[in-house]
Amino acid sequence: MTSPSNNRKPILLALGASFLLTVLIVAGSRNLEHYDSALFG
Amino acid sequence: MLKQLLTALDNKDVATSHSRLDLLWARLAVHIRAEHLHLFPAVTNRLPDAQVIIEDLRTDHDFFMRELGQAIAILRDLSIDRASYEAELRTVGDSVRAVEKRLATHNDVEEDQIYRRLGIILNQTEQSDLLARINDELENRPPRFSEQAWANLV
Repeated sequence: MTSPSNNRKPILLALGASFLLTVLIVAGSRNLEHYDSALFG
Repeated sequence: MLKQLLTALDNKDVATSHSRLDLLWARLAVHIRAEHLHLFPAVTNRLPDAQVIIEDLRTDHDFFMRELGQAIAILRDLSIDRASYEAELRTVGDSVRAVEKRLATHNDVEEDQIYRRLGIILNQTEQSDLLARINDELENRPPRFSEQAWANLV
């Protein structure tokens, strides 16, 4: 059985990866909300 | 389509203005999507120097979508008060005219700097392939439009 301290590093890595993905999505979307509404609204 | 829209706005025909603007906005978005997904990458892969021109064209695209998106939001939420309503219609008309003006210059640049170069940088097979992919993208209409409405026949 793993202890809480063993889980900390993977959890932090997962949170970091999620944050990085979010940043990449925001940057990559290039403020495209006006496009999405026109295409899918 | 732009003429139909400007005429409807001048006549204060809100329903027609909204439907024409929505169609213009959507068709422009589909056209822009095709360029972003297929045309621009085909050009920049062969002509890295064209990246600067492409970025300017993308900036124009963002302007068109932002202006038309804001205009359609105004038409959707028009005031009941007459004075405000007429001012809002004028705002929409101003936005459409600004798009019309910038679109004319944009099209000249795109035609001269991008489309004309395709014949030089792509062989016949590559051009046919690119055309097929662009046409497929252009046929991918938003679900809220019927085929007839999309072809501006309604």
